[in-house]
Amino acid sequence: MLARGRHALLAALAIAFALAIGAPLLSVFLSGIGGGGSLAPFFSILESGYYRDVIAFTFGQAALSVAVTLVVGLPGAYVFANYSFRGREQMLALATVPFVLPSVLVVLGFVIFFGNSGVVNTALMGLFNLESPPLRILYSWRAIVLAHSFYNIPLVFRLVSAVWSQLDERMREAAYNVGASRWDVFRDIEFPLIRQSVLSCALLTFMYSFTSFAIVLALGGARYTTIEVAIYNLAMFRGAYGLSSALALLQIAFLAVVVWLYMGVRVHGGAQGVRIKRSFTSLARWQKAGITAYAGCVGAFLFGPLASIVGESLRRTVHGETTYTLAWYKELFFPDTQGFIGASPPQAIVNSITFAVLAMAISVGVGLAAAYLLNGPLRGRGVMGVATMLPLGISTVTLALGYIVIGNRLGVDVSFWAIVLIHAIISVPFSVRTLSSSLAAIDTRLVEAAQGVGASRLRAFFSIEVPLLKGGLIAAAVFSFAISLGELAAAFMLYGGRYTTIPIYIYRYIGGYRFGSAAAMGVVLMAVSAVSFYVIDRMGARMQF
Amino acid sequence: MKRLLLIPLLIVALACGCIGGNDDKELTIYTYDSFVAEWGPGPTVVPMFEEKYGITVNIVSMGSSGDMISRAILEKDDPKADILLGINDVQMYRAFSEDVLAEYRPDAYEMIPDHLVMDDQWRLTPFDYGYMAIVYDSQKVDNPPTSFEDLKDERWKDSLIVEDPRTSSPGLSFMLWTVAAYGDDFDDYWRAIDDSILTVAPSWNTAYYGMFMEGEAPMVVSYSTSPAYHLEYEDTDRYKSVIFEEGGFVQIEGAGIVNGAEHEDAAKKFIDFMLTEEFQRELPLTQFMLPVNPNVELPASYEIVKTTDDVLDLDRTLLATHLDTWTDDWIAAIGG
Repeated sequence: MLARGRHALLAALAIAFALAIGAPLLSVFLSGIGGGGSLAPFFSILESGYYRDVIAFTFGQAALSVAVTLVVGLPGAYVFANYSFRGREQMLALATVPFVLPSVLVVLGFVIFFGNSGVVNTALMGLFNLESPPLRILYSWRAIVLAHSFYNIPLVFRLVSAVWSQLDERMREAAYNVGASRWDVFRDIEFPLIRQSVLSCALLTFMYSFTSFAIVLALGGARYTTIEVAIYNLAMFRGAYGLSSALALLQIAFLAVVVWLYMGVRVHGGAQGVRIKRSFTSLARWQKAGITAYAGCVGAFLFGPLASIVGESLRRTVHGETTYTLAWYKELFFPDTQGFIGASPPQAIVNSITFAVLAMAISVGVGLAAAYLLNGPLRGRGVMGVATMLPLGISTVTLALGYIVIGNRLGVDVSFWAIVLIHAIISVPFSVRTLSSSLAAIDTRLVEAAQGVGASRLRAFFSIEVPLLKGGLIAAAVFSFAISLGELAAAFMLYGGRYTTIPIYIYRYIGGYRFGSAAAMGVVLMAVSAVSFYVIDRMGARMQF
Repeated sequence: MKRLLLIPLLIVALACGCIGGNDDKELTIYTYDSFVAEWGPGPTVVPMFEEKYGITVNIVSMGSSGDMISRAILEKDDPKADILLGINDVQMYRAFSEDVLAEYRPDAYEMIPDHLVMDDQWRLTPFDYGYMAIVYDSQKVDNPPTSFEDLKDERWKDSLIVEDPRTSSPGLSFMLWTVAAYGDDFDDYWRAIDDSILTVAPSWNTAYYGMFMEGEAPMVVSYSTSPAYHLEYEDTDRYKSVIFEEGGFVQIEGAGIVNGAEHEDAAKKFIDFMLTEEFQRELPLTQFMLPVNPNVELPASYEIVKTTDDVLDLDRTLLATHLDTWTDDWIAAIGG
């Protein structure tokens, strides 16, 4: 009975996967844009010194991005998991905002904050009477790594703290009672519990940085090329479809190997229960000072670029004079122009939220089913684990083209649902990893106990596992929502002038020299995401089973 | 009996709009996003056309012009669009090699200056163009470089932001400008200006907005029309442009009729309409590009726009065969 249910679920997921991802990719391939099927391009890539350098750089910067993200993010995850303080939820919602920003806004924020004439350099130059900017971070690999961390630190905050906060307080106390040191408690009790979620963060950050495109080009400059950049260059620019398909397949193969290695590390169980959050007042002075210093530095790093964009949206320069004004916001919501082709800015906000809610629902549902299967006794777990992560290695532009081909063949307008589906597909890896690592931390004995007293497997799943998954569910929902809200490339190809989204508006404003409006729309994007994350957090916390 | 049959046939034919072949009541245009933006030309010129000809225009934004060409190639066997609007002269070879465009030479073709004609076979009709230029911040630079050679000077260290020719069309046009000026040795030129370049940005958006406007560097690769925007809307002549002495380089934008278009006659009317003064005079302040119709009077803010008659020639058909080599050489020169 049990096995049959699992197999039915697996079959349903496999069919959905084939229809939603396989079919569009295949139709692009068959339409001739995908390119040939010979092995020759693989050899020419592997023999070329240039592509070997590209591959090495791609791996190197991704590994470094993971290291920096974890080192900076983990202390924050600890604080969020262990302490209750005023504004904790609002902070967490705000700290997730970097995750949604389109690359052009990240570049803008970084330039205003870290740039040669940016906030940090100007302050340092004034402070130490320097002639030239001391911090030359931008336009080098350092900027790439920093920006990747900027994007992914929120992931660590949420994912790891969701699990960390479930540690059973009694276990810690018991350990202290028998004379264990703080380090012993971390190593033997806390680390085994959070290990899976730390690894998941590492994996997601690695895959994100590995396939990064716009950030690499914008903050590193043309001197740095990742595999993704090379694929784009070959396909869109040269029409060398054979070579680019080969490179795209190689990229997927590399990612598959990384996921496979990750799947090999399987951690189960841990001591789960109710974690009592402490207040800061119980801390020694040096601990407080440490937390404050950390919060100051990381806060400046995460919020500095965001605040820079807010500042930009309030500034107007006319006739050489800079004034502070709300005019750009007025232009968004009460534009002078008469004619609209497609959506007005307020409608674009509604569109963005609609896409995000739908994509979130699909992504969390699929993620829950996949996570459940992945944590069970399933043959071919490895294959499934790899398959659920692969959307991170697939180009959204190719998927969008695939949906267009299918829509044309069927004679229906698929734009709306294609956008929803693509947004759901690219966020599935986040949902699966988030939920799977939360599920892995659950003590299986609890489930066995429930079944022992007569609960069905399904009943046990909903009454034991799902409530313990709350943190993971919230995180999965937040990330799916965020990914959809910030996505540009696929929506840009598919919206057809009707389903304009917030990121499309931002690009449109910039292209039309409406820089103030672009920044204001960027702030709208940040506000919409912060509020949405907060709402999801609150609703999730109140969820009853 | 025969006449009786003819009448319903006539009615059906009239209803289909296929009698005489010029009764299309609909037209589908694919274009890029900024054409349909509130401040773009779309919201003004489309209703004008609809009213004049009684044809309903279905205008579909495809995102970028590169996306639009990919889409047209995908739909080659069963075209949904009648017109592709907004293909420039450095990307047109993609559309040509896939044979997605049909030939049509508009009636008013003779008024278009020779150097703006995009294609001998008229698969694309130009509607606007711009000169590639270095735009500079005059509060930071008094004497801008006036030639490519000037730019090698070490006083320009880290002073110029350029766009990547692989991902940005102004970036590609700028690289081609150096090819037009230096021929096959253009990569040596890039090696010589490597120190003057602060960074290579992936798009005009990032370069101009993200970096140049924030003062990261005093110069950026853009169009000579860019300063007109700041003069028109910010009332400042702080931003100026320079076209190098070696000769100018233009980027031309055109529109063409799709091969096998359903509403070919309406499409022809639109292409003709694009060259009229009522369409053309909307372009300077919406597209911030120069109209191809020389009779159009330019707005006052265009006094700041630099132009030149001395335009460097580069055969755009070479792109199909030489672009790979050129970008490889460029990547090697820039140290990628």
